[in-house]
Amino acid sequence: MSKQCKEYSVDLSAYFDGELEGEALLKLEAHLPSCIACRSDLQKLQRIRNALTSLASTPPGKRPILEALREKLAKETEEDPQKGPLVC
Amino acid sequence: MQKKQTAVVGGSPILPQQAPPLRKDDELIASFKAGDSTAFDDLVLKYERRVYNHCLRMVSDEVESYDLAQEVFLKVFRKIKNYEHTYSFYTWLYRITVNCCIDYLRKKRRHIQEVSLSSSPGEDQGEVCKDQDIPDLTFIPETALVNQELGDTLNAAIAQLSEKLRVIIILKEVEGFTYEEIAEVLACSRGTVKSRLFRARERLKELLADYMNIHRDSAK
Repeated sequence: MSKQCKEYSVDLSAYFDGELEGEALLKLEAHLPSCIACRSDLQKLQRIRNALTSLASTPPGKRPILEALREKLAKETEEDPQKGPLVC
Repeated sequence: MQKKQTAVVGGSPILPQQAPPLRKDDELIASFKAGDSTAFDDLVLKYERRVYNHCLRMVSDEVESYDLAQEVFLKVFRKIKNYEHTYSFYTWLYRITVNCCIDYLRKKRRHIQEVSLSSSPGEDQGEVCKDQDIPDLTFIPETALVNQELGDTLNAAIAQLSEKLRVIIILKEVEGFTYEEIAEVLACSRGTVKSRLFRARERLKELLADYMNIHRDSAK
């Protein structure tokens, strides 16, 4: 990666997220068509994103969180009625 | 106009199931504040999976994540009267979630350091580290990258990031937050989000180098 490309690397990450604006965006868009290294870097970012978004969402094990939460809140209310569910 | 057909089993028509319309967060909060405790249940049910998964990615431990998710909702329950609509409820919930995870990781690290300092040189410190299971200290990258499934590889790579980089990559790549939302959750500037995300990605590129080489062709 050239020195010029290194200067773009932080912006490249923001560009990938669609969060780059103004002059920085224009400069990077002018640079990209002629730079294989930066385009390759964008592909790496996409591969990382693809991998991370493939991470499965896991349901909480044991038992539903709500059930355990209700027990804790009921216990708290018993100990201190001021903390009861309807006291907000 | 074509009439919709309704399936009939055993003489009784089976009507298409219609889920009740989801109430918006603000409506649920207002109902809860007005005394409807089921509104809080609905908030928990709506977000428990996302909160649990965020905790799981942060601390890499199912049991601890389950407890942390409960702690998050307990805090929400206690603080909801102070909730202001400056941020969306979702952002506010994530701020609490992130803080709970960071607190947990810091306490755990402090505990490990104390145990480590108080142990005499002759003691088997390896066993202590194994029991505490701090991912940053005990993880061996080469083993995971070569031997484990993709999910484990990714989780292991995330676990090797520092807390600051870990939380930001999860919020961006797993939860899909914008820079502005991340800045609100982490109470930092947009510029900080930008630079930390860059650093997190640089680190992930190193950690996932083997994975990316293997999958380079399939990504084209």
